[in-house]
This record gives sequence, C-alpha cells and structure tokens, in this order.
Amino acid sequence: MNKKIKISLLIIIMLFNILFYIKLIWFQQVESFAEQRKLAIFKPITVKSFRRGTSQTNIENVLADQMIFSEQIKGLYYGSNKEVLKKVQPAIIKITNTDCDYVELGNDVQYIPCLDSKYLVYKNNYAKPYSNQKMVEHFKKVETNKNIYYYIVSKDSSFNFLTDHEDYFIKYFTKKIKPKNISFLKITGFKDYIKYFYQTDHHWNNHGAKKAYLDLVKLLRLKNPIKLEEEICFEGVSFTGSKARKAGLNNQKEPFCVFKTTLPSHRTYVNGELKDYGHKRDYFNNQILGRNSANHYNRFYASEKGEVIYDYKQPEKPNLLMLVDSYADPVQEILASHFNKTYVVDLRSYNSEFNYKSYLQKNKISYTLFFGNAEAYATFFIFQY
Amino acid sequence: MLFNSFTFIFIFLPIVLILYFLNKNIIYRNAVILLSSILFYAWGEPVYIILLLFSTLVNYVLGIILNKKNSKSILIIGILINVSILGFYKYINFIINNLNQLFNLDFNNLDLVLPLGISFYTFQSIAYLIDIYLQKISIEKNIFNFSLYMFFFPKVLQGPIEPYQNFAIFIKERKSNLDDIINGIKRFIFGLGKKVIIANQIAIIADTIFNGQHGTVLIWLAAIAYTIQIYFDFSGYTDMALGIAQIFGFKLSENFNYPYISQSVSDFWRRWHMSLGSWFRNYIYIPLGGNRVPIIRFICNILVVWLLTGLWHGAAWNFIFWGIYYGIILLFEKIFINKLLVRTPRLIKWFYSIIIIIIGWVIFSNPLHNALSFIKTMFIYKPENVVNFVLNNSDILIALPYLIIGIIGSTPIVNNFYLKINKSSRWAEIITSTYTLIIYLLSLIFLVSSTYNPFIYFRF
Repeated sequence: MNKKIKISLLIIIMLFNILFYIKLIWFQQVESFAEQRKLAIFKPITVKSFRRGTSQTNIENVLADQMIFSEQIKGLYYGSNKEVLKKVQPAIIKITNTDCDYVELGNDVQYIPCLDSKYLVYKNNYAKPYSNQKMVEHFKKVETNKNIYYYIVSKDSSFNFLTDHEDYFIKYFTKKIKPKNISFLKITGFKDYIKYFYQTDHHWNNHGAKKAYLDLVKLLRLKNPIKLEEEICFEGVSFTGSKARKAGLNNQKEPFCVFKTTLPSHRTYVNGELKDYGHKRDYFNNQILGRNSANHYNRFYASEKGEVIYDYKQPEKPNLLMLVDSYADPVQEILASHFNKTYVVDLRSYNSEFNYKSYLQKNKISYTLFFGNAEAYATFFIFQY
Repeated sequence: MLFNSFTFIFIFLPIVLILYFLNKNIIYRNAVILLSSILFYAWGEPVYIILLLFSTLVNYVLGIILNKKNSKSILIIGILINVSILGFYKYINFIINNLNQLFNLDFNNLDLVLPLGISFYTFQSIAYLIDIYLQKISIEKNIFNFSLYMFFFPKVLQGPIEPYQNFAIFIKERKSNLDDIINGIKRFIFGLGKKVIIANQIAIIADTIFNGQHGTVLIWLAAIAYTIQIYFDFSGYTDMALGIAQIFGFKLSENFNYPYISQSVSDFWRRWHMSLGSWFRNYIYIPLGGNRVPIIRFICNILVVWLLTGLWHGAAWNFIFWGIYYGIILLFEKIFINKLLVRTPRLIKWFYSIIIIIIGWVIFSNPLHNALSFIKTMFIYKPENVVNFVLNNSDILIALPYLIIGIIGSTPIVNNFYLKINKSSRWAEIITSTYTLIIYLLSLIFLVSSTYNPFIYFRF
C-alpha cells in the first residue's frame, strides 16, 4: 500500500511538470495583462551570450513567465497578502492607538486608513528632488519666449495629505520661475484628491481631466468650451490601476468612467500615421479587450506615444504645441478642437532629436503648452534649447 | 545554476534523471552525472569551469605522485597550489584594500569574481592530498572517477565537504531503489521549501532593518530573523543536495543537527556545518596537537583554527572578528565554565548559547563597524516607534508569520511528532506525501511570485 502512495506522489509531481511543458511548448503567452508587460520568450543561445550569462537569464525568465497559472498565482499571492495587510494594519493602529498616518502596502504604495483605505497613494517625499536649479534655469530661458503656458499636475506623491495644503513642487516652480501663464489642478487636501484621481491608479479620473480642460480653457482664454456632461461608466469593465498593480493588490478594482464628447470632425496622425489615438471607438462599440484586467486609462485614451497631431482644419485658428506626459491623454484631443493643428509631443518617446525652435518654425506654432507632473518638468521637458 | 531556479527544477534535473535511469550500467550513469555536473557548473560560471578543471587535474596528478613517493614536500606543494588559488581569488582584493589603507597606497582592485564553490572544492582537494599522504585512503587512479568526486553537482557549490573515502564507495557501486528515489525527492522538496518559503521571506526582515539605524527592539528582531534565515537557507540547500544525491544512490554527510537547540557553544559547533567542523578538526586542529598540548599551545591552536574558520567564510574583517569571537568563547567555555555548564539547568544553558549565537550572526552578517553598533544597541536600550516602522514596512509585517514558523521549524518539534506516529503506517505515508506536495506547490507559488514585475507606467 505504501508503495502505491509513493508512486502516486511521483506521478502527481510528474504530471504537474508535464502540464508545464505542454504550456511551455504549445501555449506560450506573449503578454501579461496583470503586469502590463511583454513576457519573456526564448532567444537563440550563442557562445557569447552563454559566456555572459544572458542566455541562462533568458531561459530562467521564460520559465518563470510561462509557468502554468503564473498570472493567477501572482494575483492570488499578492492579492491575499495585501488583503490581509489591509485588515491587520488598521487593527494594529486601533490597538496601539497610533496617530493617523500613512501606512505602507509595499513598493512605495501607501494608504491612509483614517482618511480612506480604498485610495492608494504614493509616498509623499518624491517631489522635492524634482525641485532643482537645473530645471529653474531651463524654464527661465523658456519664459523669454512668447505665448508659453504651463499646466502642472498636482499629485499624491508631491503632497502630504496629513500636513500640507499646497503642492510643494507647484509652490517651488511658481516662486522661482514667476511664470506669466500658469494653471494647475488646485488640491488643498485629501477631499480634493479623491474627487479628481482614481483609487488605484496614479492618473486623474474623468473629473480630474474635465477640471484640467476647463482650467486650460480659462488659461488659454478659449471660447465655446466643449460640453463634458454625459458621463458613461462602462458596464462590466473594472480597472486595476498602476498603484494597485505595483502593490500587488490585483483584486482591488474600480469602475472606469469617461465623459462622452462630440467633437468636430478632424484627422489624427500618430507618429505620422493617420489613425486613432487610443481605442475610444472600441469602447463605445462595446468591443473591449481585457474587461477586468486591462489598463483602461491607457487603452481608452492612448496608444503609441511620441508625436500625435490633431488636424481640425480651422486655418483661421492658431497652431498649438503641447509637450506632455500621460496626464494629457484624456485632455489633448478636446483641447485641440480649439486650434487649427495641435502637435502633442511626448519627449520620452519622440523618435528624433527634438529642436524646440525649429519645430515651432516648421509647424507654424503660435502657442506652447507644457502639460505634466513634477517629473515631466524636471526631466523630460528639459531639452536642448 | 541554483537548485531553487526554474531551470534546475523543470529542465536540468528531469533531463538528468531521465538520462540517468535509462541504463543501469554504472559507468554510463557516472558519465551522465559527470557531464551534467560540468554543465551545471558551467551554467553559472562558464569561464571558471577551466579553473575547476585545472584544480581537478592538478590534484589528480599530485595524488598519483604522492601515492608513489609519499613525499612531504609534494604534499606541501599540493596544499600551496590549492591555497594559492583560493587565496588569489578570495583574498587578493581584501589584502590590496588593507595595504592601501595601512600604507596610504593606491593599488587598484583586481577585476575578479569569486569562482563558485571554490572554498568547498579547495578544502576537499586538500583533504584528499593529506589523506593520501597519511595513507588513510587509496589513490583514485581513474581520472574520470576523481572528476566525478570534484564536480558532483549536488555538492560542488555549497558542500557538504565530503571526504573522498565516503564518496568513493558510491562511485563504484551503488543502488537506488524506489524508497531512495522517493525519499530523495521528498528531501529535495523539503529543502526547497526551507529556502523559498521560509528563508527568502525572513530575509526581508533582516535586510530591511540592518540597512538602517534602528532601536533595540528592531535590531533584536533583525538579529533573530537573520539567525533563522541563515539556518533555513544553508540547511535548505544541504537538504536539496542530499536529496538529489540520494536519488542517485549517493549518501552525502549530514551538515546540520538542530543547531539552535544547542546547550553550549561547543555543542552548537558540533551541530552547525558539521562537514566544515570535521575538516578543521581533522586537518588543522589535530595536526596542530589538538588539546593534548600545554595550555598556551592549546589556546593558540584554538585561536588559529577559529581565525581560519572566520577567514574561510569571507574576506572581510567581520568574518575574521566572527572567527576570533567564537575562538575566545570556546576557550572560555573549555577552560572556565565547562564544569559549571554540566550543572546548569538546560533552559539557562540554551539561553546562554542562543544569545552567543545570535550575536555571532550579527557580526557575520554586517560590516564590522555596523555590527558593533548593532550589538551596542542590542544591549543599551535605544527607543524607537516600532509600530510605526512596521506599519510603514508592510513586507516585514507579511514576513513575521514566516519567522514564527521558522523558529518552530528550527527545533525538532515537528520531527519528534513525526517519529511518534508510526512511520511505516499507511496514514503516515499519506500525510508525508501530501505535506511534500503542498510544500512543492507552495515553493513554486513563492518562486513564481518573486518574479512579479509589473510595468508600472509609473509617474508619467
């Protein structure tokens, strides 16, 4: 009898391994929705790559990525860990009578149980490194040009919800540069924050984007703003944003809502190709990929980054250059409707070297709008002048 | 290649086992193990495989010469060659750094990576040469068999340091029946679990706390965590090594015997890394005269052995200090409190031993300056908001239950329970088989989860 049990153990282990080989050989996955990344695939082994150890690393990565139920295992492991944490931590706080404070969930993602445990926030010590002299010197030069506009996105990471009433980076920027035309999403505390941002993602929600658009209408003195009134929350679509994914809280989901807009007809060129930017049509036609797993903010509003040109064919109106990060994704197409041509450039993905002055001349641009968060201002908005 | 890698578990080991059991011929089977061992080593160290081949060849030739001539000078040359290779790769940069500091020089460090397993295979080689010289063992004339001893993949990276005579008997004749295979697999899985489920989780506690300056409570927590982590890490590896060897029909030496239930520091060193302890006893301590010498000489012998033990573990001052620390404590124990310990209640003896061991690991795991600062904090109370720290380091909170499991697992409680139930009963087999399966699946879950690497699109 014992022999049978021993053989059964051997067979179960072998069967598990065989299942893994079957998946590895015939059912390789290319992409992980939960991790929002391409999975490793086998690369040819050469003497050089073997000597350097890169072949060995590649094989290990492929095996780890292609393990059966890999995504589910990771989701279950991190999800259950973090769910336990979210129950244990408030209990510890209650028992020890600890003051209201940020509580870590892992990988810089925190929450504030006494304010709202659903809202995930990044550590708040992050904006200070971006407030530096190099950035100040750059934007002082930028300010010497005409028609320069700034929109700064205030974020959880540049705000201490327990002590601050003002975004550190915005305060620093306005004090040092003294810009003529600036606006920003005014947040004065956690209540404001939860109005405008997702629970699980670092981006703003449709209300934050709407607020930004209306702020920009004022800043750029635009007429006849587009109406953003019809709010649609896609049925059966749930969204696990970047912060939840980073903390491993894959089970924390939230609805995905947008404002439906009716825009004048226009053409969109993404990196020179005539096509839509994002997959808005698919969503409205109920052809939604990865309903419960995709990064819907990115999928709905954006696609390949780099250069997006909106041509509304209104030659009587000026052209606009927007230097952006991903916060502009829900705003840029609507804002562009107020201009003839709008050039939206994300310098992180821009294919060739960006020369600001020649870009303005070549495209007859009258207005420049810098649109982004502290990191954008301090790093990729700084280009050769 | 690591035992706890997917490549080893899903590709290397199954292929080697299939090839091994295809044919019963012992020469064929040895050839499979040797070739796979070469691949195993080359996988992690493609370049340094040459060094291991060189070391194998040199020791094989020296063994033959020693067998013919039995010359002390040949033995010394052999030891010097082995020690020089180890010394060059392991200690040269440490020597350069210290010379630079001492004489205000500016020599550059050499661009060297420590070859995997060099400390283990060097000690094995030295033991082999000494044993031939002392005519304790007969010479291995077959270079193929000798290479198998040097390269044998279950032990090449982290031991156990196996005396040649123990290994040789299995090269020429061995059997592995179903029981050996199943028990070997169980032991491998058990070791995998120790490493992946317990040691890797607990490591977070020690790493996080030792990376900063903290108060007394947290430093003690980190010290205890490291104590458990290093045991589960090393004994887990040893379990995996012994398990694989058992599948092939080899029986390697045990390396651990519940070291944390020791009743004295001497007892601890009879239970911790036993193969290294035996090596130092047989090849350094006893040749120096052991304890059958005048007291001053005895003190010197102990200090030399423990200085070398410290140095063997690493080229840094904390390892040297750690070795001397144990040397002094063992001397103190042997000279002053040996008799007192016999009369002391078991719990007090255990408490005394475990405190010494924990402090030892603090020295072992940190640069000397930090280690001394941590030890000071452990004994001179320094307050800190522990709750706040734990709340802001969620990974520590997650790891704490594993520490408790680790503490229990480092004692023989579970094993004693298992011994109480009838091992040969059907239910005992079902329980252990289920337990093994659960550990296997959990280990894979932990391994897969450790590769969680979300593209965050962060801060854009």
